[in-house]
Amino acid sequence: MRTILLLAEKDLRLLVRDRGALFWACIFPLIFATLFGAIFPHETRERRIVVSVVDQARDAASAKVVAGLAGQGLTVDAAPSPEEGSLRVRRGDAAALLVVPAAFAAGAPLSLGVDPTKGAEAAWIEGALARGLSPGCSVAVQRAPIADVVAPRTGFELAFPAAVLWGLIGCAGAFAAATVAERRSGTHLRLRSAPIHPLTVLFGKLVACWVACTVDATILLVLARVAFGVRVERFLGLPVAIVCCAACFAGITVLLGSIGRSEQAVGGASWATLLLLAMVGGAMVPLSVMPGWMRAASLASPVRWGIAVLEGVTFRGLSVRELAPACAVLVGFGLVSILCGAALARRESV
Amino acid sequence: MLWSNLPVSSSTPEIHVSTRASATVSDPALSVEGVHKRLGDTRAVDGVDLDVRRGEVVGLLGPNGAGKTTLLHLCAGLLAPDRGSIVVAGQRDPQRPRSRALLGFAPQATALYDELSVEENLSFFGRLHGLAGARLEVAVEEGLATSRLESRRCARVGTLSGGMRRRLHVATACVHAPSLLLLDEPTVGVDPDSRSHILSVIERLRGRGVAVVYASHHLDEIARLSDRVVFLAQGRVQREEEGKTSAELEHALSLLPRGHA
Repeated sequence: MRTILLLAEKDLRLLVRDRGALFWACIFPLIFATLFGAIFPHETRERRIVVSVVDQARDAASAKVVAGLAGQGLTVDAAPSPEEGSLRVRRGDAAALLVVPAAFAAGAPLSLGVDPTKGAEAAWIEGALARGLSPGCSVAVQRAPIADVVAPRTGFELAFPAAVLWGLIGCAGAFAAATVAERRSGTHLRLRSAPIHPLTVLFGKLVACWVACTVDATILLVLARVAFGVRVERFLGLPVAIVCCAACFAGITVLLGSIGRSEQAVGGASWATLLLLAMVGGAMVPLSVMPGWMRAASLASPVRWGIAVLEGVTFRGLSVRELAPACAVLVGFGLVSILCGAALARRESV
Repeated sequence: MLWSNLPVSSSTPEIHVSTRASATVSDPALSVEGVHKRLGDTRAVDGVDLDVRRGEVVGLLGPNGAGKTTLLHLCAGLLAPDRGSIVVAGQRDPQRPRSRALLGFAPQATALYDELSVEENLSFFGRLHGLAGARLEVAVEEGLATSRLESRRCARVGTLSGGMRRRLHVATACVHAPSLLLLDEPTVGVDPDSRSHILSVIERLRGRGVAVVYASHHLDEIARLSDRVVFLAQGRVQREEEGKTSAELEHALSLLPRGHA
């Protein structure tokens, strides 16, 4: 452990003394948040209307209702239970929750829970329900607001979670670049010829990157709170979110550092991978304006989960329990990356 | 560095050479037996046998692609041999940390951290090899004296000249007092003064009983330093010579086969 800390200390010193790396880790995310926060009013974010649907009837009549919604251009998101559907609305993943009761065919009314900050979308959904059914056939709809839905007050509340992710990407990129520099300068050979386990070098990088990511995210979120008025609704969840995001990107750095044998391979693969993850994950273009297939693809990007977790603890006010699945996904990404990185690193000494 | 009687600094305190080695004095510092290593389609090392005694400097000579660097990487535990065995001061398998603790390795490139200072580099490599406290402080001071960089101790390595970097490169390789020092062209691109200094450091290490394997294309260096010269070509030891002048070495080198095996 002492050697891991020694290696981490060395890497952190190198990072702090590298102005270029500091720019990408700290300054660029601030520029990103300032620009995009000022440009995007939050009303323009949700351009596609997503309805979370819980079909408890599962019969021909309920299928007709669901098909009618889709036919009106709405995006139907099947939820397993009313609780899960409600959570999706609170997370901002859906504008409303439609529950088709088991006795719908016998005349029981549809239940429409709406995000109270999205009145226009709710009205559109009600209209779509009416239009989507057969002419002359009407159904009763009970409309009620879903409690605890919190909308972003400013563009900064939307921009900062993505900006923090850019900061983490900057850290990961900087550490991948440091790995490249070690290979080029020969210090990597010196480390490998030292009396330490080969994986120690990798874990030293992991610890250093985790510390750097944690500090970076904390600084950015404190600035977001103090200078830009971004709400932090869940102070307890904030450190959990930061630690999970940092763990994820530290793990990814380990994988990127082991992915190739030449500096060109490592450098190219690092930035290509990180930019792709950012693009697909919603750090460049909001998920709400992405086509359906790309939203589905975003599930494979840790950036998407990172943004969801950080939005959750800031303006959405989700509890730690509600954030747990997304946090688990982030930690899972990190662990898988570490295991793959370790396997690749072992191959190197053969 | 823990060889306190090196005549590089008169002010350094007296301490003992590292006793971590579990080998006996009679063990050779390095024993290579029938080592083979393929890199892709090339037989980079093809059945090499080599023994290096304590306090002996062995020069490795050969054309480019002869297998010198691959042999050094095998001895340093950076590569695993396909066949054969390598024993460092009685420790089998140089890939194990216990073996690596006994050796110092200076690769061809100047392997230093440019953003760290001279002192931080020496301290880092010392700590990496398990030095701490007073032993580390002494080793760093001696490393500074050995590299003649006392006045630049706080300077970032990126600001040093090529010769200074090379001197520091060698000093960091032996900061932990290894039994075996592997040097891969340590004087490439340095001025005559720095070069002469590096050679004198190696001679002093030999006087302390350190075994040195020294790969170079500079025949005069090899002639001056080496107790024995091993000629490598096509991954094999072609011949061994002792006490030859640089002109004789040049002639012997010209007779070696070229190309890969």
